[in-house]
Amino acid sequence: MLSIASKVLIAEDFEMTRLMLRNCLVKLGYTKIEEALDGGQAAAMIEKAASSPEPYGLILCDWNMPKLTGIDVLKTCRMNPKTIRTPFVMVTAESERKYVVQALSAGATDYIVKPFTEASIGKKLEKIAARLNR
Amino acid sequence: MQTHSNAPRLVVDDQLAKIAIQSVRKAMETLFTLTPTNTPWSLQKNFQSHGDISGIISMVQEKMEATLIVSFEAKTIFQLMKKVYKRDFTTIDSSIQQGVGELTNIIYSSIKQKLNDRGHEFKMAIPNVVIGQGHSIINLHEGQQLVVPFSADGNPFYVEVATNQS
Repeated sequence: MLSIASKVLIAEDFEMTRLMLRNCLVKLGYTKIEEALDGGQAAAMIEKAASSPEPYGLILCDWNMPKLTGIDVLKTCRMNPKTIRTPFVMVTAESERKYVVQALSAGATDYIVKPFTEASIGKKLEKIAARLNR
Repeated sequence: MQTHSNAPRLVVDDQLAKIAIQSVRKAMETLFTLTPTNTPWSLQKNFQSHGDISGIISMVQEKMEATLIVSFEAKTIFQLMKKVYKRDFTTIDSSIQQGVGELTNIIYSSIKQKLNDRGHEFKMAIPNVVIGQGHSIINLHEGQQLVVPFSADGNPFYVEVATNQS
């Protein structure tokens, strides 16, 4: 169940994009937002949260990041029974079909291509929540 | 077993210029809600990008073929980043540096996708950012440079593709 009470992780090495995603989430009503600055940090935060009383309810993850790529963060997430179903959205400048297919095949819930506007992200996240909460 | 790519070499022509211009416009329109204008592109041999901050990214197929450079004067990037951060900038701080890196990344990814749709096989890459008031970037590639001068709300920036191919 994805709601504005869910805890969200933004995994993104560029500050500008983290800011845009955070602004969008705040406008949608999300209040529990955490950030990882590279893939290694993201994987560690996801694993730690999974064993805590409040795991992440949504992960927004870049592809090209230092230490561990987003696709590898996704694969790691899907290998853990506790996070195998966590909504995981790739947010990346990689728009080629082969990367979309690769991400969805690896278990991504959805795929958002940069550049994006806050409005487009908002609409996308609302659709994802509606789909997951059916 | 060694495999060789059949990807065509990058050609500096009107099509590449159009792709670069479309990619820059899309990035700017979406991120900053402004449409940059450009003067006609040119082919040059010894153009030196000038700026206070530049994003640089390698364009690699089977081997390195070109370098994409996006160069900004400080006033230009300050005005652009103000639209995202909703505050004034007076120095090229880490927010500005990262912003240039991300902008270069987004422009390159768009160019890459359009070229790869045409049979090329350009790979993902991570940009570098060069900082220095009035710095120049000297092209050491053997080939020509595609240079597109842009203006964003009257403030200049350049996009350059420096290639290995003569």
